[in-house]
Amino acid sequence: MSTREPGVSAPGDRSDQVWARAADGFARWRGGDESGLQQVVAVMTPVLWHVVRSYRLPADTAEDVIQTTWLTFMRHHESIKDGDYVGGWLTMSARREAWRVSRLSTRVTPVDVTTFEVRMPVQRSAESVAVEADRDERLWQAVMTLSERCQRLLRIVAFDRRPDYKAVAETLGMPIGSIGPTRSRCLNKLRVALGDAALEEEY
Amino acid sequence: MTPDDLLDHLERVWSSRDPVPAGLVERMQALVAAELELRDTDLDYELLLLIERTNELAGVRGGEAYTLQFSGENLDLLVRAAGGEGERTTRLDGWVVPAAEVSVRVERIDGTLGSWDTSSDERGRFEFVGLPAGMYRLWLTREPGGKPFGTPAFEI
Repeated sequence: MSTREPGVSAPGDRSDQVWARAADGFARWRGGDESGLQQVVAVMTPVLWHVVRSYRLPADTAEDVIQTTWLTFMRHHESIKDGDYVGGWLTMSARREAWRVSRLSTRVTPVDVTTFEVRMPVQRSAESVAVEADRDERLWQAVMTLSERCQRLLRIVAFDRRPDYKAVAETLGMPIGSIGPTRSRCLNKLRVALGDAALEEEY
Repeated sequence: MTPDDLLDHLERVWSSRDPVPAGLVERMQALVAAELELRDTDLDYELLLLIERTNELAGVRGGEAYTLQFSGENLDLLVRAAGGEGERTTRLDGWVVPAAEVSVRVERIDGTLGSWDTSSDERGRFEFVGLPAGMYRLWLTREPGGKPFGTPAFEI
């Protein structure tokens, strides 16, 4: 993607690892190995879920959008010239489809995210789990104080660190030049909300 | 701490608060596998896009039902899928707009694969009764040898 610069990924950047595994699977599929395609689907479907859900679509509609994304991919993957771009191509395609469906549907309902079940990993000490649960809860409460637009933008960016700003701008109804500044502003608001909630600076 | 650390934490929290539904990855893998088989037959088709999904209130007559509205070039399709429960059998009702007699094939893409054929009547209506519960796609063909319209998969 045009805004992505290979080689500048930060250590531990999980989004980049996902991208690399998607690109690897895509290359293997193009080389004739069908299990490569299944790898692309396995690593990218969870990312697409979060991208699509940021448009506040109900779960079944979100699944329809993800499916349309895969069918579109199967029909148009030849147009992806640079295989490293496959992850970005998929998230961009999913955002466009989510945006299209969210505008058409009269049934888009606010998702009450505070009621989502919290799932914690189990195999750690009760104390570290409790500390982490507390950190997660504070972050979550801080996220909930943000505007819907900030929540959506941060969710997109959390799962797609270098999104195609043009497509993001289009689907968020914002000028392309304001995506970068808005992203920084939303992160700052989140830091402030975290600070206010905890009276300490963790980030 | 960097913005990336904060984004890492956001990624973790969102993953736990709104987790990916169970089986979603497997369903998408079955979908692309079925699509790969199609490509082997060189079948070119027009993908009908989902316009709206409406879930009916459960318990009207038992079982769950929903309607899906698809749209393509010069063709719209409304589908109502009702799941079987207890004694009830599944049924799938379709309406093609503009009304026309078209060949209709319903194809199961998960579990035991299979397909069933029918045609719409002059009012554009068709139905399938008693399909096994599963994921299906519909294929509509206006004239023999013509380019078919295909829906995304949906569950019955």
